Amino acid sequence: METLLTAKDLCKTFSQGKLQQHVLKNLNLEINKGDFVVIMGSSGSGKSTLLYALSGMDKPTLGSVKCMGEEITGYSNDKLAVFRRNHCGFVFQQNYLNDTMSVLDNIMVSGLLTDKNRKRIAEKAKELLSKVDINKEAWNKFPTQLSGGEQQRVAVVRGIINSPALLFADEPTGALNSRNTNHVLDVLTELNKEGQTIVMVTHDMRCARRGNRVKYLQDGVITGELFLGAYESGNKERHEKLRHFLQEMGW
Amino acid sequence: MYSLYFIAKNNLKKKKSDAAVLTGLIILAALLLYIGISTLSNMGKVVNKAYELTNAADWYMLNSAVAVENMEEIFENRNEIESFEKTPVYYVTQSGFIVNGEKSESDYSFMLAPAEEERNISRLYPEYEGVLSDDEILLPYYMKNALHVETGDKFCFVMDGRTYDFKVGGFHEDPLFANPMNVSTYKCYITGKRAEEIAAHESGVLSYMECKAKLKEGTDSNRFLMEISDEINEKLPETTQTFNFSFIWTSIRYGDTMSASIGMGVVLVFAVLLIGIALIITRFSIGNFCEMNIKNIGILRASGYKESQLLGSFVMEMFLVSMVGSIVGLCVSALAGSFLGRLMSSLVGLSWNQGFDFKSAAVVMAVCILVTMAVAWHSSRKCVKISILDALRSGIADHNFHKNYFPLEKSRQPLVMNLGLKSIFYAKAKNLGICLIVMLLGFVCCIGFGMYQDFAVDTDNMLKLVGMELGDVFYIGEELEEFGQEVETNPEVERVLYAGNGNIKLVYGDKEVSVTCDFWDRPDFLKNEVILQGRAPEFDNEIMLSMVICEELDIELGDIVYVKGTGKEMDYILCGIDQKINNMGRKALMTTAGEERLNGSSTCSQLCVYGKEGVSDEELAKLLNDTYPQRKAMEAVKMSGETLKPINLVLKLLCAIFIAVTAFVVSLVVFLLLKTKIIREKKNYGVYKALGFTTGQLLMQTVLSSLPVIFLGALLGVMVCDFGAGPLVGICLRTIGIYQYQIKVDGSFKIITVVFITVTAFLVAVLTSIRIRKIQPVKLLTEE
Repeated sequence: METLLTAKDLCKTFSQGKLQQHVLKNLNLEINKGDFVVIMGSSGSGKSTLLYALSGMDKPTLGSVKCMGEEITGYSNDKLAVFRRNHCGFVFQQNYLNDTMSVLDNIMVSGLLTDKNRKRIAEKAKELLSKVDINKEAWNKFPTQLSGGEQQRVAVVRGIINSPALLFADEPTGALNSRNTNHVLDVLTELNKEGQTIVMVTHDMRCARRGNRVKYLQDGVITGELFLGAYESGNKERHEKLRHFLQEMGW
Repeated sequence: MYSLYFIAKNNLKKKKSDAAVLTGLIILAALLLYIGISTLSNMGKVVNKAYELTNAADWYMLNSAVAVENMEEIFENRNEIESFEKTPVYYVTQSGFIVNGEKSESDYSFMLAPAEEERNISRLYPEYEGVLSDDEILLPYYMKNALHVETGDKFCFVMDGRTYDFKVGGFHEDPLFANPMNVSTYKCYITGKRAEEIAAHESGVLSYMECKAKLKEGTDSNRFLMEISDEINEKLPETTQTFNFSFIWTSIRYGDTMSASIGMGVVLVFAVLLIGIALIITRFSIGNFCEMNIKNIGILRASGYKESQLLGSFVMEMFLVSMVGSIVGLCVSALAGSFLGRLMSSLVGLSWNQGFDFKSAAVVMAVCILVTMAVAWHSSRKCVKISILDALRSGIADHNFHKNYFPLEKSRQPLVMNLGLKSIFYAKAKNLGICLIVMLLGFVCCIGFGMYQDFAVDTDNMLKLVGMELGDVFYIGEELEEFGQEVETNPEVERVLYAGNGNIKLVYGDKEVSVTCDFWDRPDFLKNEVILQGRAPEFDNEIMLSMVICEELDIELGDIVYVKGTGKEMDYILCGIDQKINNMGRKALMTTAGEERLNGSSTCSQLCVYGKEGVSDEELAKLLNDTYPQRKAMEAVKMSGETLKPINLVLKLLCAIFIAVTAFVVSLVVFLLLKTKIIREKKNYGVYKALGFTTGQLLMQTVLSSLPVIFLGALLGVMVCDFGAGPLVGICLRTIGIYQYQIKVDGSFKIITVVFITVTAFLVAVLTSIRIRKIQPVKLLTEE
């Protein structure tokens, strides 16, 4: 298995005056190509902090993150930006689409950062939009004219337009209803099946069971890991296994 | 009321930058408005005070001492006269002068008045304490501020290579000779002994007499001037044979304040423009605020606040801003009082003895506050009228789905530029407003440059506008006819024109006016004559009048006008109408033959010499002075440069104000625009950073979201200037007798205007956008 990302002795401390809060404590982690890693944990356990430290969006206080053979911990902000555009994709809890741009432009604005060929990017964006069931009529609409689920699927397409090695998803269904949640998760599962490596933070069991590995984070330390294997729809045993694991972790 | 104040105060806290910008603009507007209003309303007081303190003459004539020997006889029989006085003075046709040994020497004409002479009319003020010594000179107050001469400085006359040194003993104020815009001469006081000594050595220093009269109250001074000129022409015809001038106080009073009034008038217009810009920003600010806080408005309405109360809170908000702005602006005005005083002194030529003007301050405050409140009321009406439910739904009913401008799929420009253009077109109305503001500023800036170029740099153009005909070099004096013929034989001389002038009375129907008439031997050769209708006089029965006079007499081309000079009344055909600034635009012109027909003889008091092509004025003057050392040839440009100094100063000042205010407003607008954009779109910036945009790319995108609008505005302003500046400046000049004038704005000034505005905007945009660097995607994303 090819290792895409390695985090070693990762620490993140937030300081406010004399007060210090250690959010991540000597955390070690490896993510392999094709993984669908789910990071779970209670509120304030450091899930999102870990995700942002791994993706180069935030700098760890100590430790190192090596991604695609690059040691990114010492990178400047601009170098990190270039790293992110080339290797990472993001899906956030809120879709964060730009309301002043059409659906297609929201995706292309990200795609054009790595490929200047507008035609090629537009074709790719349209292909991906079709794949996530966003029909042609919606391409030139503004995000506010779409439903919440549609908006989040557009955000997923934006995240993968540059064919990133890693797709980071931070509670991607946190703001969606049940029907839209499943739709977005189906998209992510499908992408993973096609070989897309995904790292997802969630506190929703429905989301967690889509991953092939579940890591449990407590007080900045990974306290447990569960291997679930590839996702199969309607597999009750998988669900029970996860429920049992989480119970053990005190979730 | 307190609840309104409470909401207004909180609203202001939420939009500190808008409030700061508006306050800044109102401070500036209040400052300029106060300067304009207080100076324009107090200028008359300053001049009147000097009139009272000096007991200035109501009628004044300067003429050869010999010619006015029997002047008293004329005045003895006039009932309107309260008192009459004659005092000797030496008229220096031209002299160089040097202050503190400075290398550059200016040429000008002077009046040297013996200080010890007793004067009751137009007396020396302030009185010189002690006795003026032979090496001391009292200079006009104008020189103190405009030319930066100080008491104790060395002052030196240079005449034909000989120098006469003096120490500046002080400055006197004379409203009749306050600044050179009125009468082109500096009146100075020295001892009689020293004046005689200079006159004995210099042929260009003539023994003259000041004839001064105080008129009884209620006397129509215009009518008096007309009648007394007639009488003097008739009884003392020799007074028209020499260089002379006469005027009445009412004309001089206007002339004293003319350049300062024009300058302050433009400052006032600029202040109004600034208020206009502040109002546009107020409108945008309220609109933006409503858009951003529509939910809060809904909550307030739901909790029972009435429309009128919310409207009141917006009005209260603007009341607070405009009140603070105008108070600070007025405080700055009060602090800048001494600077303003010096400035006004250098324009008017009299000491600015006015303190802080509370009446003007009250007017400024009322204007600033009431106008801003009115616009706030108007702008917030629509906003508070939204239904509670719509407001709580973030105004979804009013939501406007914009067109997707510059779709990335089809555009060809670089990504950051494309995103910048998207931002511009997304907020079309706002950017249109900004474009209009910048266009206005570009237009005004360009006019400033154009006026500076036309009036201050291009002296020839100014001479044409003023209608001052001096040739390339000129002579003033007596018996110039024969001398002129001799001068014309020089191979470097193209031609010589002979001129004289005198007062005439024009009668048309039941209307009559008294004007100064210029007599030229060949009027069609005049360089600086702007003929509006018809042509210059050719025959002895033709006359040309200025438009001001034509309008006064209601006379048209081809009409017959009756003219009274020193002889009997004669009829003349109006063959042409011209424009003039000097003598307040009240001038007439006829041929020397026409003068002979009118007065029985002709006079020549001025000789204008025109050099051949390639011969400079300086070379011509040197050649003539070397060939004819007995007479002093004066260079027209040097001489007129001194006369035009006040207007030059005003224009430089206006240009500086235009440039400074343009830079300030452009900076404010760009700062406000981008700061609001960055705050409003902070989340988008964070997401863009997360997606991989570098700070540099986002900075450039932000700069490009405002710069094209500013550039376009400046460009449009410059283009509009081409056809809009003429009529605007024309309307202003019409009030001083100029009917035909096309302002020329040099291409380089247009480029400078556009570059200046764009570069200012670019620098401010970059500095404002630097804050994007501080935006951290993680912080924004984790805030949710």
